[in-house]
Amino acid sequence: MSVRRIKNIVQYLSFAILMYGGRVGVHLGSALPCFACPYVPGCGGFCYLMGLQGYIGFGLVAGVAAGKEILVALGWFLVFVVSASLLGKAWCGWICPFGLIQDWLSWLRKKMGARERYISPEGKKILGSIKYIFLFLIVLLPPLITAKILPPDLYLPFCNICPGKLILPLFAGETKYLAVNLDNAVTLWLSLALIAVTASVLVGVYFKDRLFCLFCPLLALIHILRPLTALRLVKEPSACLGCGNCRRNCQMDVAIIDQDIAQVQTIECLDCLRCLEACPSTGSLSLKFFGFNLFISSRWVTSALRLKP
Amino acid sequence: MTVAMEGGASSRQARLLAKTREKALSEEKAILDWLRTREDYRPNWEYFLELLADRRIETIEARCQRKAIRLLCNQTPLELIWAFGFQPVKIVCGSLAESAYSAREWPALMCPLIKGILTSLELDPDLANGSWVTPTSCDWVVKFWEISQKVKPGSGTVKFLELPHLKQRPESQKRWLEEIKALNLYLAQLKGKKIDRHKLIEAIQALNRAWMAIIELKKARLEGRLSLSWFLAIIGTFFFDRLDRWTSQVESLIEDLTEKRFSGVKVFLAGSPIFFPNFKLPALMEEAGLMVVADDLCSAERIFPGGQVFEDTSEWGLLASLAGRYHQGCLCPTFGDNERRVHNILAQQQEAQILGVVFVVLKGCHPYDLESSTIESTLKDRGLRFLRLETDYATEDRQNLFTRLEAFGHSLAGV
Amino acid sequence: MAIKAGFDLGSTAVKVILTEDEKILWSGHSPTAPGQEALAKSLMAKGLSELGLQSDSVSQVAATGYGKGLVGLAERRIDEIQANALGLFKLSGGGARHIINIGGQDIKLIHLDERGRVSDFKMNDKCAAGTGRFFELVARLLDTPIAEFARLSQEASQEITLNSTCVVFAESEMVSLMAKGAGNGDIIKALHASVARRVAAMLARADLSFGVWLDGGPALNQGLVRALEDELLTEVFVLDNPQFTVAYGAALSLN
Repeated sequence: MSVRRIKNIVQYLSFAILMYGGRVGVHLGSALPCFACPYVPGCGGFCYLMGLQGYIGFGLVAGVAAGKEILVALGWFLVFVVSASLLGKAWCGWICPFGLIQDWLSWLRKKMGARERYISPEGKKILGSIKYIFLFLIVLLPPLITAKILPPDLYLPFCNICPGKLILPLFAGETKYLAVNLDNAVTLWLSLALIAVTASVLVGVYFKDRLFCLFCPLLALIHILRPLTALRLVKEPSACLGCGNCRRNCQMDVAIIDQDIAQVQTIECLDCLRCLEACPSTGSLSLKFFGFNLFISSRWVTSALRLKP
Repeated sequence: MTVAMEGGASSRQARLLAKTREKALSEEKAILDWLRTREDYRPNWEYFLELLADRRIETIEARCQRKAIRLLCNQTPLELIWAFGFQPVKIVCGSLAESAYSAREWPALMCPLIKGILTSLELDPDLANGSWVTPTSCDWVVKFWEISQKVKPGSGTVKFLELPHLKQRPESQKRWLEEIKALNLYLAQLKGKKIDRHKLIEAIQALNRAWMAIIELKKARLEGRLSLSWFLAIIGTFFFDRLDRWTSQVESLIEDLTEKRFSGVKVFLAGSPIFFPNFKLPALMEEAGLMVVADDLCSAERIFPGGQVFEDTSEWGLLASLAGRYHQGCLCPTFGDNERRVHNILAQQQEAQILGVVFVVLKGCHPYDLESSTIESTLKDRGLRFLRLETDYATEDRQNLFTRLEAFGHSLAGV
Repeated sequence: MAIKAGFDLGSTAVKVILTEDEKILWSGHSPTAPGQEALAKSLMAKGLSELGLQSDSVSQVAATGYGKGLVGLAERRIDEIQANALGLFKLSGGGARHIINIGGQDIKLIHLDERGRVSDFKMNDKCAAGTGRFFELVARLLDTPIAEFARLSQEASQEITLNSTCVVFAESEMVSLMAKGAGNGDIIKALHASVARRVAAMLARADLSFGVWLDGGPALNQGLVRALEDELLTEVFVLDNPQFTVAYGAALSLN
C-alpha cells in the first residue's frame, strides 16, 4: 500500500471523526491543532484557535484571570502542546479537515487539466507573513475586547474571518454562516470579510495546492513547537542524488528539500510525504516517530509511479 | 582524368566501407554467438538477440511502425517523443571496426563512441536522414552534428537542446524547461499537430512500467540471478522495439530468473558507457570472478533517469516534471555540480555489500576521466577500493585489463 | 622433501624458483618463447639436477604471470600482483609498504598494508613507455648491453632531457640527440630520469614514508634506482635477485 493511500485513509477517517464524531459521542476536546471547527454542529473536537481567543485563552487571561479558570486554560494549553508536539505537522497534512477540502480542490484542478501555479520563494515569504498578522490579532484583540476597548462583536476575531467557519459547517448541513450578518456595522463588515476571504482562498487553492496553509496561524504555532516534535521528516543528505523528485512533488514547493541540507522541515512542510514517496534513493528521506522509522524512501519501492490513468 | 581519379577514390572508399561493415558484422556475430552459447542463455531470450542483430533505423521503424527520432545522450525526455507517436532511438556504437574506420580522419584522442557513430552514418543510409535531437552534453556530442555533416550530408535535421551544465541552480532549471518546451513545439511541427496531454500521461505510464521491469532486472543482477553481460545485452535493446512489447518481453524474462546462479566478489561498475558489441570488459570482469551488483553507466542502469512521479497533470506541469527529472536526475559527468553522483555508489556499500568500484574510462571520454579522480578519493576515504581502467574498443589490452581485474578481485576477497 | 616451485611466466622472461620451507634453493630464468610450459619445466628440471635432486621431488607448483593459464601442472594460479606482494613482503622482512615492479611490458605500483596485503595498486594502460621493452629498445639503438647502463649513466657529462615518454617518439628523439653529439652516458641518464618521472607520476600523492622497493629485471640497473630516488625523494630498496620476487611469491602462495 502506498503512503498516499494510507494518508488518504487517515484523512477521511479524521474528517469523519472531527466533523461528525459528536453525533456518536466522540469529542476530542477544545485544543486540537487543526481546523476541527466548533461551528460544525455535532463535530468531534474543537480547533485550539477558538479556545485561544476565547474562554480558555487570552480573553480569560487578560480578564478575570483567577483561581480554577486559569488552571483550565493552562490545562488545555498543555493538551495542545502535547498533541502538537506528538504529531507535528501531520495534523496539517493528514488530519486537518480543511486540508482535505483543499486537496479536493487540487483534485478538481487536475481533472480539469489546469496547471498549478507556483509562488516564488520571495512571494511565499510575503504571503506567509500574513499568518503572523493573524496570530497577532488572536493574541491582541481578545484582551482589548475584555478590557472593553474594542466592541464585543469583534469577539473571536480570527474565527470570524476564517474560511473554515463558512465552509466546514456546510458539510453538517449548517448554512447560516453563508448569510451576511446585518446586526450592526461590525458584524456586516466581518461577514463581508469572511465571504471575501473564503472566496479568494477557494479560488487560490484551485490554482495552488494548499494555498491556505501558507496563511494558517495554527501551522505557525505547531512549527514553534518543532524542537519538541516527536514526528519528524528527516533528510539524510549523504544519500541524496539531487534528482529533485521531492521538490517537484511537494505540495508546498519547499525549495530546500532537494538541497544538501539535513533540516528540510521548513515552516511550510505539512508532512504530506509526497517527497518521501517520490524519492528514488534509499534512506534519503524518512519519517521518524521518536527516532523510529515509520516510512523510509527506497529505490526499490515503485508505488509512487503511476501505471493507470 | 579527374573524374576517373574521383571514381577510383570513391570506389576505394566503398571497398573500405564494405570491409568495415564486414568486420563490424563479424564482431557483432561473435558477441551474439557468445551470448547464445553461454550457460545462462535461454531460448526465449532470442528476442533480445534479434533486436541486437539488426539495429538499422529502417528495421526499427518497420518493427515499431513509427518514425524514429535519433537521440544522442540521456537528457531528452523519451516520454515526449513517444507521446507524439515517434520512436526514440538512442544512437550508439560499440564496434571496434567502425570506430577504427573513423580514426583515419578524426583525432586519435576522440571519443570512440562518436567515431563509431560517424562510421555508422555511412553504413546505415537512413541514419543521416530524419530528425536528430541532441542535448549539448560533452564536447564530442556538441560537435557531432557539424562533423557528421561533413562525413555524410543527409536530409536530416537536428534539434539541439542546450543543456545547462549546472543542474542544481533554479535559473538553469528554468532555462532547461524552456528547451523542453521548444522540443515540444519542434515535435509538434514534425507531427503536424499539438501534443495531447493524455497521450503524454500514457507515455509516462508506459515508461514507468518499463522502469519497474528494469528495477526487477537490477534486483535479479544484485541477487546473482542475472549476469552482467546479459543485463547489458537486455538493456541495450531498449530503444529497438515498441516500448510495450519490449517491457512485456522483459517481464516474461524476469519470470525465468528464479535461481541464483552467479556469485563473486561484489563490485560496483562506474564510468563511461559500454555498448554492444564491445563486451570486452563485462566478459573480463566475469572471468576475473567479479560480480557487478550495480552500476551507474548511462548505457545500463541510467539508460533513462527512472520512473516519473508527477502531480501536475496539465501540459505545463508534465513538461516541467519531465524537464526536471531528466536534468536534475541525470548523473552525467558533464555537469559542473555532480558531486552527489558518488552517493549512489556509497549507498551500495551498505545495501549491496560492495567492496570496491571498477571505474571505466573510455579513452577520449574526458568528463568521466576527470570525475574518476574526485570519485576515487571520496570512495577511498569511505573504505572502498577503487580500480580505474582506461581502455577503448581495441582488444590488445585484454591481458593487461584482466591482470588488473583479477588482482583487484583477489585483493578484495583477501586471497 | 617438500619442494615447492614457483613459475613466473612473464612477457619477456620465464622465471622459475624452487623453495623449501620458504627458503630459496634455486632460481633460474630464460627469455619467453613459444611453449612456455615446456620452457618452465625444463628450467625446473635444470634446477633440480643442479641441486642434485630427483626429477619428481617437487611436490607442488604455482604459476603466475601472463602465461599462468598455460601451465597444466600448476596446482595454484595466482595473479602477479598478489604474487609480487607476497614475495617481496616476505623477502623484505615485512618492511615493504610500496612496490614498484617494472616488467617486460608494464609498470605496477603496489601498496601494502602492515600485514602485507595489497591495499591498492596501479598499472600502466596499454602504453609500454618506461617498461622493460623500453630499455631493450634503447639498448639496441645505442648498441650497448643493459648491464652497462648503470656505469655509463654515471659517466654522463651533460644534463639532457628526454621529453617524450612514448617509446616510438623517444627513439627518434634519441637519434636526434645523438646527432647533436650527446654521448651514450648522457642519453642513458636522461632515459633513467624519464622512466623515473613516469613512475613518479603514477605514484601521484602516495606518502612513501617507508621508502619503496623496486623489483623486476630493470631493478638490477643501479642507474635507474638512483634516478628514482632523485625523482621520488625517498629511499629505493632493491633485493639481490629482484627479478625472482614474483615467482617466489607464487611459491609462497602454496602454503
